[in-house]
Amino acid sequence: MIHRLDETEVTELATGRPSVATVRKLTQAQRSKQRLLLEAVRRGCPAAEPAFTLLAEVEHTEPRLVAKLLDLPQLGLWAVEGLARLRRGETPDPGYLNAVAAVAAIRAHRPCDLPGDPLLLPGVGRWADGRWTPVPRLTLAGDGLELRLAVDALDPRFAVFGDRLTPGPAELETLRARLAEAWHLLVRLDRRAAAALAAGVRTLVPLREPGAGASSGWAWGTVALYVPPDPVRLAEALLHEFQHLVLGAVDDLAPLTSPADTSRRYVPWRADPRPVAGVLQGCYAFLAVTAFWRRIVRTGPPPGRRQEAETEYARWREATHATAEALAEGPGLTPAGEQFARGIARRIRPWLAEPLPPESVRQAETLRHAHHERWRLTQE
Amino acid sequence: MAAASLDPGEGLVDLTRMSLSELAELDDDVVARAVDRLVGRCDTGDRLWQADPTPPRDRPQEADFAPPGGR
Repeated sequence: MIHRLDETEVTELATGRPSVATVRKLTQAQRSKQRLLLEAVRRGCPAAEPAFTLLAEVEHTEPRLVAKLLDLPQLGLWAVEGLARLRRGETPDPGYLNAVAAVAAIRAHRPCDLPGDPLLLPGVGRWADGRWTPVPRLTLAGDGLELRLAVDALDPRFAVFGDRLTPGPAELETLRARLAEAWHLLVRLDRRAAAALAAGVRTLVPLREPGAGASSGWAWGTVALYVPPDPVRLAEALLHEFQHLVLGAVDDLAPLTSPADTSRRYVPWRADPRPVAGVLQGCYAFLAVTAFWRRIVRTGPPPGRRQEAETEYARWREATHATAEALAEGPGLTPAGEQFARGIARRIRPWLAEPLPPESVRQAETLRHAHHERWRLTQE
Repeated sequence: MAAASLDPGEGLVDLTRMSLSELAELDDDVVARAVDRLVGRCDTGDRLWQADPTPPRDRPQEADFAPPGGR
């Protein structure tokens, strides 16, 4: 059987409105991808064979336990790094897989050699300096919709996202409170978008730097974020990163951009010129950002934040629409990618006519113009 | 555009019901081709999406967690 998306699902995805069922389909495809990558590493890395053998033995009696471990997003990062090493003629480090196999053995009550001290058990915790630190798990409830997250700053595979914040008890409580408030806001604003996010995201890597946010096409379900005190900005950031994950998962099923296109282009949300895949990813992320601010404006912004919300909405609807339209008309996209660029533009187009106070529109234009001007000057 | 355009070539085979032992029995060619479709067209680092260090989320934000080593 092949992982496929039907026409309705493609339309939902191209306009940034996937259902929970569609996100679950993407999740299944990502599970297949990860198994494939792991199997490819196994074939090139005899040193990893004992770990695979142990996992296969546990799988005989505990298939669900091993399935959950094989789905760990950090294992995807390990696998793709292993493949990169094999391509360079180097050997993947089997130590990480040994640790995953150790988790399987421990949970299945089987004897195993523990990989060492300090000891990282992926997705579970770390033993170091005589102290056990678990990976905390949060369940955020918002109007009957739950978001379940592992908060994992311990796993070295997640260093790829930036400087991680390893929360102590007090910081974890702060994170929990901020996430709970943002989640509540998101569910209230856009239940469909929140439900899709809850179906896809399961790991949060807290980052230390304000404004930082990241995700990877090799770590499905993981968003890395600075968790700000402002629930509005936090909700926006969660949606933004989730969009990257979704588009990456679609790209695995149907390449959206042509690798032959090596051009770099201006985008209104970054200071550096971006490749076509980055432009499309940005458009998709800012489609969600635009929709988010639109809902904030329409449902009534928090006290004192009306102009900010209107300006954000005005700025991103124009910028995202224009960028997606230009992308759809130009080179670099596959037919599937073109469908997504057109879907993004199509969803935003009617919003361009929605009235906003002139002052907010002017402010948005000033910001857009200043961004472009800064970019233009750096190109001279 | 028909959804068929999202299924070029052989597509991504559903492996979720296969055990590790069954995966190990797949032909080398099959695995190599499938991996190449997924990984071969991009540098593995290409799929990391990070916020611009000077982003439009450029409103000043105070670092409210302790800096490394600061606790």
